[in-house]
Amino acid sequence: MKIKADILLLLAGLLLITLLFGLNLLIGDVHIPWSDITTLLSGGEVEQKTWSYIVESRLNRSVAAVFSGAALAVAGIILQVYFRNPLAGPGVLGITSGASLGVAFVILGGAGAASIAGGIGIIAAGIIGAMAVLALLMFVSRFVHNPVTLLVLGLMFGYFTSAIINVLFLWANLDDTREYVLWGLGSFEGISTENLIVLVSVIGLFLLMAVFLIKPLNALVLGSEYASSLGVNLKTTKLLVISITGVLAAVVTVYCGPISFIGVAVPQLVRILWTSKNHTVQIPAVIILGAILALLSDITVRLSGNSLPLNTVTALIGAPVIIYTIIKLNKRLA
Amino acid sequence: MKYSPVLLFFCFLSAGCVRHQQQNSASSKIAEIHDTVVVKYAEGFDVNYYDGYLALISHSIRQNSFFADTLFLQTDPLKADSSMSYLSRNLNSIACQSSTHIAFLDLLNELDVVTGLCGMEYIQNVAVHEKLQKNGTLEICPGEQVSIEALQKLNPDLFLIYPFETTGKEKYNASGITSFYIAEYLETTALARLEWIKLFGVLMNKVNEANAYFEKVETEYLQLKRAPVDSARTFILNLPFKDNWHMPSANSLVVNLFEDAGLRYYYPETGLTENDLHSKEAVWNDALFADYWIIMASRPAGFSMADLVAEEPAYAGFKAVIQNQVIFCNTATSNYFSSGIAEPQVMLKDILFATGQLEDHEPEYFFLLN
Repeated sequence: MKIKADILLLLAGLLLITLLFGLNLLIGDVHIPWSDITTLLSGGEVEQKTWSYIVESRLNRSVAAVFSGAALAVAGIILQVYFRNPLAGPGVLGITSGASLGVAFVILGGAGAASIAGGIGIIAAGIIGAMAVLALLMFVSRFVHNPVTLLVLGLMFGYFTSAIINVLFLWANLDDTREYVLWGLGSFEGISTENLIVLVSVIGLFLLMAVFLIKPLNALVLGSEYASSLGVNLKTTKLLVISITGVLAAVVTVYCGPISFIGVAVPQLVRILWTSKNHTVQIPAVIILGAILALLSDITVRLSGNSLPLNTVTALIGAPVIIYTIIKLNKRLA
Repeated sequence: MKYSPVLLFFCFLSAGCVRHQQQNSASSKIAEIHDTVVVKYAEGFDVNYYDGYLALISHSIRQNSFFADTLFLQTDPLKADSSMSYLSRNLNSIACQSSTHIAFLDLLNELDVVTGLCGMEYIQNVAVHEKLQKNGTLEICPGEQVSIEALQKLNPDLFLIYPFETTGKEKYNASGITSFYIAEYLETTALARLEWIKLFGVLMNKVNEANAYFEKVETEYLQLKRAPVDSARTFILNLPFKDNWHMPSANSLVVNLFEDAGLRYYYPETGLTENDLHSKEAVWNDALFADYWIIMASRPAGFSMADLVAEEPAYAGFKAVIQNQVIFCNTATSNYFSSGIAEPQVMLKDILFATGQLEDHEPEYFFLLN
């Protein structure tokens, strides 16, 4: 019965994504009838020339929200299981900050996102930055076994990279600084179709790769020694964890900015809503819930007349979940 | 004796309530105004002549902010009230918070007194930049903030500041630096903004030169000005930041400048003083109908229409883009910020030329994007 309920919940989640996706296409300052939206989506033409661009823009941001939310949530659950810490996540452990540092080097160095060299450079620098922080964290984790200490170290890495970014501001001009600050607020807006194809392809590929982690993650819940005794190759698992979470967090950060809270909060919500502890259920569940939360956040941003930054909305949703988790964790440890 | 702690408390309280004077006691004295500088367009300053001295007054002009500042200068030491403190008539050293202040001083041929400046790198005018460097003008705003230490080291006779932050003036006063608010950017017309040259003329003892320059530009500008506005030729402004498109107020300087060229703003109901926030997609929709698109932005030299459309393919559907009526001011390569303020008639000519209302003109600030 429990499995049935979990599957029903997954299906309900998929239905909700479809509804929110449709809503995100429909709402906006320009009223475009649903019939015109479907005409445009099916390759047809409508009388108003700019409507095709408006619908394309709404479509791109909705797709970006679905994939980015899913990516951050999957990265979050993998890190939480690997570090055996419910508060771990790409933002908390400094991985997002690492990606931000890479992006800052490119943007504040003068190669804006608009240029081709800048565009490719930003992606590469973001991925390198994210994976460097994650690799450093894993190296440190060999000597530091206390998960709380590891979290604090992740936060310190985040502060350290932020400090370097602040130093970079000294040499940047006003336009580059403004571009970086706007990027830092997070947004699913403004992703071109070409960039969206890259985002969707990379995230899609690494979400598929996450399937290979289902069995190791199920074993790692009980500890690395137990996982090893079950035949889990810890070295390969570690490599997969670095690659998958690093790339997922970096790609989202590069294209949408450092989006906070989704990576930490979604796995917690999944543990509350879904009964199964099996990652065969939990991984699809975080994908669906991550997409829902990201879409909801984007809709909220748009309904606020774009006056609320995306990170403000994700914080409003995510912070209470994290506070609840900390209280629950505290009770368990008491 | 048992009341002494209470008494002491009230003593401290009353001491804390003493209102610190911004200038000196003269402002509270009733003095007869003998003469004033005629100000035709500007709303943010006054110059009043009293017996033996004059007062430069700078003040807010809108309800959404309040500030006022007064500076006293002696005109006749024998008649001037000796209990007041005056700024020297022979200024040897001035620090400026903005490049627009430099524009006024340059017009009066007084760049030599500029010893400190915020944002040297933003002075696009090569001649002015070279002159300032040659004079050893010091950058006083490393990291976009005024460095009090640099300012103290410089110890200028006067620091011309913007009233952006109320605590700034207090900090400068506490450091022994005389400062004065220059808020020409709040004016809503190009002529009103230029008229601040009259205040600089008084300050630098070059009243006649300042008045002559202003009158010359005013005459030329009014001759060029088109009226009434042609409601058939509409324009939109600026570029979006991510999803937001900030449209200047219908009563802003830039809107009035383009309306002086006979064009009509697409958003005439936009707030009186503040920018209005529009969503990107709403402006995309409106741009189907707006005849002209005015862009003032920093872009590489040689920026073209193709580059603009490459930034956002949706622009290809804009009426102004289709009809090649995008009027562009490249703030990275033109002197818009440093000398545009001094030449509103040239900017108006540029716009008239770009809109086909003037022939034989070499654009300096605004040109049609190709």
